[in-house]
Amino acid sequence: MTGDAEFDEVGRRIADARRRARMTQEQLGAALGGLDKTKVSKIESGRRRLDISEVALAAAALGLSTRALLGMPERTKLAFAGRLATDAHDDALRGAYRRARQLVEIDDTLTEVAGLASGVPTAAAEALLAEGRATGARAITSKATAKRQGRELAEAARAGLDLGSDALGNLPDLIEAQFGVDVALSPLGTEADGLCVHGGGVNLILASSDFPAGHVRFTLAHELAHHLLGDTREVIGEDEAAMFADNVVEWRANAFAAHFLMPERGIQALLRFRQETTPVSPSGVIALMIHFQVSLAALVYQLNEVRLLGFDEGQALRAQGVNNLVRAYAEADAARVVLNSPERVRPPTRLHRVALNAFGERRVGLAPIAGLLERSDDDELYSELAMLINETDASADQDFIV
Amino acid sequence: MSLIFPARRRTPPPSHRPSTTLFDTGGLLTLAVDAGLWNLAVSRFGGTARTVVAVVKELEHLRKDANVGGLATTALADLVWLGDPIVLDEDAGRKQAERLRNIIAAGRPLTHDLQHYAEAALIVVGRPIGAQAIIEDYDARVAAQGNGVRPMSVHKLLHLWIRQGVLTSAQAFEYSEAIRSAKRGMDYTEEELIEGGFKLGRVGQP
Repeated sequence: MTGDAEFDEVGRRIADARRRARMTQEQLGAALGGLDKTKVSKIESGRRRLDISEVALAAAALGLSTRALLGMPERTKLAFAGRLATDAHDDALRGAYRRARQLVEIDDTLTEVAGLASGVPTAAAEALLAEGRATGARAITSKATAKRQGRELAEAARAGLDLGSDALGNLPDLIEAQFGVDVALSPLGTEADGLCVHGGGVNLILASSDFPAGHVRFTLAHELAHHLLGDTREVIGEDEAAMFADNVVEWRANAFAAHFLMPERGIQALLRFRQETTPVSPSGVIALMIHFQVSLAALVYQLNEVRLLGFDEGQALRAQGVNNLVRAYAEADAARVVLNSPERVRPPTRLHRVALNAFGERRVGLAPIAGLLERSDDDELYSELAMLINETDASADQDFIV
Repeated sequence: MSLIFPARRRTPPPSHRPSTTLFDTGGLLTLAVDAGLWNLAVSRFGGTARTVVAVVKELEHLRKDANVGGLATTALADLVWLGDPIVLDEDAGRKQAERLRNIIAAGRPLTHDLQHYAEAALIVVGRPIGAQAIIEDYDARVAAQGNGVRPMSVHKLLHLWIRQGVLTSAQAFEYSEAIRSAKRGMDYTEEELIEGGFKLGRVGQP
């Protein structure tokens, strides 16, 4: 079959992509289910059309989306999702990349079918983003400067968003509402802490919900810092080693997270209320931990930074174990908010809300909602959601001629 | 027409017929659970029923599937009543189908390369002619409805056949039980098939 101009183009794209991928025609033929070199050559010159089943295989083998292979205008988010699929080289982070990719694909579907609008930062958050990006662009090498910058940005965020110095409430809701960044929690295991994605029209912070809630809050604040500071990486994968790496980017992000979650003024106010003196007592440490809903490790780090606890004292406390300290100094119920895992699956609110509306209007099926909630029990999920379906739309069956 | 099943019953076709009823892979697999059900569909839709090449390819692919391989083989043995499978327009049609497939999948991992492609192709073919379609996957039915193709699951078809006197509720229940035994449908009561309410809303296996 001689190819028309459009099909010649498909062949040319395949040939170009194959050369870029340093593949031989034999290797591509093998990926296409055992085609010989001659057939691959014919495909590349437009003399043989790709079979339907070969399109996806060719795209996967060449690292392209099927849209790109077929010459369709790339949807930015979908292309970005494709990159997330191919960029997950680290075993520990593979699950996080997979989840991020799924969320981006759902975002793309909802944008296409239900007119999902992008997240938009508030005016105050926009100003902070400008400030953070300017800070992030400054070349620095000193740890002290990085920590100071992180603290100043956190204080600016507290002031700009009118958050005072007390404990923050629901951090995912706050980040979404103020910064227009989607926040998702997902059981990703304890090898990976999470991801910050900001590229390709996507702003997403994803954290593993397999850690205690206090730990997760620090991860979220840390990822927010990367976003605010305009980290040049589109995707920042985080495990413990990455989050606490010995470099200015992470020092700055950790300082931001600590001061955003536990401002010094707020700590001092609570200690005054408790009539505590320096160094803070173990019971004071546990009270602060529960009040600010942070992990013991994060609190000790911050108390060291603001010189309310010596390094050795902090280490001695950590060596006792958080559960022992809680048992000794706090009500178990009060500590639960920090020590227990947060909600297992939290989909981004922006996507979840639009998906539910679109489901009710029969513009999307169950797949986006099941994906957002990480559920596979479609029948049960349908039963829970059926009340949302607009009856007029549901009665369309009556037009069917049998 | 090659019929692999002995005819169990033949009902006269309705007096007026739609131009085309398209059959999806899942719909054909479900109909294939029972010879009588298959033959009823042939008698009601034969002559106006069509499918697309992608459905045939997916059935061929599924022949090796541990769960539905037998049903795929059964369906493939009797596709003559569906006429020549419609070839999707090579470029524009395939692009539209890819777009629809992304919408139907909506981030769910595909279990095989052709998953949801056949449903998408069916919608692309059915849209310009205002076709109706037997589609088992709920998300694909929603996509079909949004694109001007009237979709129906096999269970809803049983419900409408009861209402139109094509089947008694007992006969429909028997077919529903055969579908359930083949793990292609939930446990429905005769009353639910008569009523056709929301429990039948999502019914159907892709």
